[in-house]
Amino acid sequence: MSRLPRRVLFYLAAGAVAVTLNFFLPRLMPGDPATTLVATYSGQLTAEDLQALRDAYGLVDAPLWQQFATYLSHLFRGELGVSLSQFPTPVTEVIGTGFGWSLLLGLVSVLLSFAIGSVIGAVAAWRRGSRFDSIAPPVALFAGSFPYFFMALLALYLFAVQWQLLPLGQAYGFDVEPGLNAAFAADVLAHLVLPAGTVVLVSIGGWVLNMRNTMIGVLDEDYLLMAEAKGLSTPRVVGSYAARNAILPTFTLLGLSIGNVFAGQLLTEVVFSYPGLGYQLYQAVTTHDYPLMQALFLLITVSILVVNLLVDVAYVLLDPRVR
Amino acid sequence: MAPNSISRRTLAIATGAFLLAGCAGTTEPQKPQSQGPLLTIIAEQGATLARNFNPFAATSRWATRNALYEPLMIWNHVTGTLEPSLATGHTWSADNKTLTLTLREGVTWSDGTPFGSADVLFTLELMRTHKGLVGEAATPLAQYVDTITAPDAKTVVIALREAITPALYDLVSQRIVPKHIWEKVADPVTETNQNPVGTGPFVLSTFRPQGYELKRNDKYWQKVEIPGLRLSGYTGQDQINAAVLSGQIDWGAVVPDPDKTFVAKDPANHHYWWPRTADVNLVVNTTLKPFDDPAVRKAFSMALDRARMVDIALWGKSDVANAVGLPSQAYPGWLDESVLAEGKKTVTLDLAAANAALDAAGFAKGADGKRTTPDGKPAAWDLIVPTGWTDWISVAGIVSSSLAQAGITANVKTVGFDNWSSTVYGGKFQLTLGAGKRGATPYGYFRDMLSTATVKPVGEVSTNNFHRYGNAEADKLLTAFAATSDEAEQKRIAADLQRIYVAELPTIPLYEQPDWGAFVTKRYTGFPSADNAYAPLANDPLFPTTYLVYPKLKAAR
Repeated sequence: MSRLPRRVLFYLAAGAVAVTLNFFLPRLMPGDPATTLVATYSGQLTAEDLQALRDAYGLVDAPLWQQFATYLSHLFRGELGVSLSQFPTPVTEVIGTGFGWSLLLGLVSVLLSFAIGSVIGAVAAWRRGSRFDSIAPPVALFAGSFPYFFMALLALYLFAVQWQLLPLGQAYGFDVEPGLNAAFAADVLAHLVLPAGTVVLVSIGGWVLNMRNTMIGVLDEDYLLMAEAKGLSTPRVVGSYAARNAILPTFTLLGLSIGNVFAGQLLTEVVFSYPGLGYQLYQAVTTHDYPLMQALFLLITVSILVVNLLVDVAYVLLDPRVR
Repeated sequence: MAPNSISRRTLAIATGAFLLAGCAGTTEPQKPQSQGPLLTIIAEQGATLARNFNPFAATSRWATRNALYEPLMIWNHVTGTLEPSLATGHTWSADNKTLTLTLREGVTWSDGTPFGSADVLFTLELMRTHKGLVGEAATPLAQYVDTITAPDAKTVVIALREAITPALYDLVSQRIVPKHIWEKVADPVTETNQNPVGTGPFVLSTFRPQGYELKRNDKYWQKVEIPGLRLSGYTGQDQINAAVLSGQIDWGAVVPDPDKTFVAKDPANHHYWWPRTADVNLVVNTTLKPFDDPAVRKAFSMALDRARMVDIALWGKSDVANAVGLPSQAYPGWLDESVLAEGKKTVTLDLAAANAALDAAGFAKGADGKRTTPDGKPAAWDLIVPTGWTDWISVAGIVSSSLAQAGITANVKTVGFDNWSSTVYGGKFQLTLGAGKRGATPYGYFRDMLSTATVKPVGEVSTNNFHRYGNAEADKLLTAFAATSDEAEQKRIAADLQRIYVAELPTIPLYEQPDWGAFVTKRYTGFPSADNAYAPLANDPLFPTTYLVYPKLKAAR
């Protein structure tokens, strides 16, 4: 009964800490956005122009605590400001273009590797010592131990350059009309295969191992012996009795992975020019784009907190023991 | 110094259905081009691009300054000529204080409105009255321009407060905007100009956050054969390499080790051309001891193995620097051979001479072979270079190992670009690398290298003269240079400036920096190349020379 309110309180406190860190961390980095700007356009800006641009960008020399107060008041009014590196595009618009793609790529790859990995893990545990068990988990782990960058480049080279089976990069091609139609959906799917596929390939090993281990623990339980003794079919025993109980710890991990989706998949986005949030964050950091960085960090922390809260809620539903 | 080289480098830094409607962004539906292949150019970085076509914004899309809005004239740094564009010619008054520009007849904006002197007048006045607009004309407008008038629809007269003839190049490079549209813009600093109307050879046809397409402007004043341009955003060198190898690119920028990685894949169609217009220097902070001593700078210079830098960092595709730090091909007729011969030994590897010079300067050599400064401190400094600038990082490594031979320690440190720029431009560095300014005449280069006018106190940002060296004699020569429009006189003065540079060696020239450029002739031919050197090949956003290339491109076969 008191579990949920306590969790909510905890998340609120964590959110407040995150909002504070969001402001101060970017400003601890050496360098500042104005110099970066001068560096690029030195010959084309006078001192007065630079000052005018600093004003337009909202870069003030006021004390940090004063800037922090302004940041908080803007935040409460829901104003995230304009991006400096893509001035004067509002931060919400910049993030808006990447958000959908990150969510698509992230959710598809996390859910796929979770689903496939858990099934392989469950089957491997059920048939402990079988040929499947001695091949599938090691192969999955082997694939996962490759550096992602290497794996992704190899896939890009083979499938997109050498055999030209799949598109090189980006989220959809130039020749289709974006919109709710089958041609566009098919194009998006084709563009998703390589980025999502490579992520699944390297992350599946963890899920397999996790599921196999917890499953083995569950298999010794008396209720499984009981289920088998009752004469239930094997799929039913594995699915509804063993896997259902074994999946609980893996579920927490899933929540964490889904939360991380919002941080973007930087390496995937770099290799495949996929228009997600990871590269935007990278660009924001390298150009000292404070407003964009703040908004992205906020999005990441809030989503991780929200997803964790959802996992907590789901736990209550899934596991009667914590009620 | 370095800023000119940043844009080209950014490319080298390597690195469910229900959502679909939202992902597609705010673009209105438009059919993609179908008539012939579009010329695909690599010039945009990032996988999501903001729709900004404001020619006065630092953050606008590449096409804004390189395909949509044209300048009055175009400085062609390959041929050394000032090419006509919206203006067909210029004249200076006898006292070099009044510049008269003659505009081209029959030019219209892409919406059909005729172009005229009112547009030029409006653009320049707009920049004068609104601070924060980025453009080549900003500095001369703020510093030298007195009045701008338009006696008739095809003539613009700019009166300067003093005779500064090099201001010409900045003024005529300014991209011109249409008065009838921009006079309605509330704030030109924050305007995103989503539907650009320019005089250029192309108009925007499709915009998506992943890339955009331009189609030929049928009202353009020149004949252009290519049907349009396609610009996709790329996030890293791997994507670019893959796109090039699968034949999707027509015109690109940097290709590492081009003979092996690029030309060999398709020798008939893959080409590159790297003309050189600026040098890379080892920059010392002359406000610090012992770098204030020219003898020390020369000693460092003689210890450096420049040939190795060219071989390793540039795959042998360039030349070592001469003593004045200007590329030998970039300024025909401007370099004084006698000064070059005089300074040759200071830029030639001679370890014995370097050691002797260091001994003479009071750098005692310890038992471990490492020297100490005359103040008794270890002769060790940090050499900082931006992360990911791979050619500079390998050059820095060679500088470090060369100096170690002479008992000097240079610790190579790579830092993020923004950190590098604030440290270097703020004067808080010890050693770094920098590139000389490219310009129509060596005036701008020597102004950055030698003028006291460009020296700022440490802590204040200086992007031009970050070695912070000033010379009173050079000031007088630069003033005399700017006051005349007689090229013979300017060349004589430039020789004196070269003499001062060699004597003082404010920065240490290393090698000639190529302007990266590569092209594929499968679909289109006519790109500038060594055999057909009519314009620069690099599609650098800081230079409008792309406008010289478009009319020359023809469909292959």
